Amino acid sequence: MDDLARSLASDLDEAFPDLVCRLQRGVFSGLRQLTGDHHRAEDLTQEAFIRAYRAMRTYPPERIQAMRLRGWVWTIALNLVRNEVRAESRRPKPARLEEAGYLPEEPPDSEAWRRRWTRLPPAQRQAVILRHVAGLTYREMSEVTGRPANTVRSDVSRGLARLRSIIEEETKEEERI
Amino acid sequence: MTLEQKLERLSVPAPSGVSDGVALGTGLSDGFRVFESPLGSVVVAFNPLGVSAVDLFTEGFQERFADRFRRSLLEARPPRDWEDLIIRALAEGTPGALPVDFRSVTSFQRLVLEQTAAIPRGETRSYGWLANRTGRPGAARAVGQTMARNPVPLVIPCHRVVLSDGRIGHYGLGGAERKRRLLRVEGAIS
Repeated sequence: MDDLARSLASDLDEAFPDLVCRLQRGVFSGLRQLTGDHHRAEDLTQEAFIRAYRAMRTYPPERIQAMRLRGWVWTIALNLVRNEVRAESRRPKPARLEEAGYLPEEPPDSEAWRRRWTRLPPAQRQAVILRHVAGLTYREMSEVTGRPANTVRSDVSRGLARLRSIIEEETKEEERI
Repeated sequence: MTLEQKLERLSVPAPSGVSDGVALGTGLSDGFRVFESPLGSVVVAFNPLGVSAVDLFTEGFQERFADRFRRSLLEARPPRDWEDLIIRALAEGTPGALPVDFRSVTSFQRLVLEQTAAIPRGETRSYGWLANRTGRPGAARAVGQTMARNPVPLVIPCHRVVLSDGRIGHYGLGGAERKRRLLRVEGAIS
């Protein structure tokens, strides 16, 4: 990531597609679980990167080089989720998918996970998703959420414990049926 | 499988539309779509600033675009309300309310192109007339070069600019014969 920050600082337009390539999987997957909606996650992922690019264009190279990129992009993404932002309509859109009759691929057990997430307190849900789906470090999570690293860590472990008991309940329920 | 492994399996590749959408939304790539025009099928390129290029829909248009504008082209839908504006601009030979991205030309060239956009359909003007209009009476040659550099022919009607002795002059979008055909269709020449 440090290499990438250096490349972005020296030629933003040249290096920006690499940033998208490196981070889009984590950002999209995390947003997909946070919003429970494939299309909204896709829109928000695009919007987060577009805003990141516009912001970076206004920054001097030294500032870009010192950035911790993944946490910063996630800060933008979570702001978009909080503010219920919709993608701008006055923007060119890729034609390819629409014309191919594209259907999104659902990750495994999508519906079950949607139900499970609703049973977690919001802070724990967000912490588990950022850590274990999006792959953020505790330090990045602390930067993104503005909460101390210890608090974030305990949100993750409580969230995991809660999820374990939810899944256990589900299994018992299935066995009963 | 542990819970952590189950959670990792929720990490899936982003849809391929994401990187294209980012490229289009940031303006790192322009979108393009093929439209019908009085000269047949043309490629219209656009980005968030406006329409950036019009070219004949012939082999190599993507390479020609990349060579000139240093950006790539992706097939795309223009913003919804631009689609009608593009169709109208091509049919009438004037940009109307359609925004044009002038970044590929100098400020003098932009001024010349904006004056060109105001030449009414069915009429022609000379290079000298345009030079006068932009406040540089001696700049007919620079005006001629500007016409050759017009990134959006048909939308900005450089075909309506002819030599003062009545000769038709060059035309970047496929040569003098097409220019003559356009002027005939518009009723500017018989």
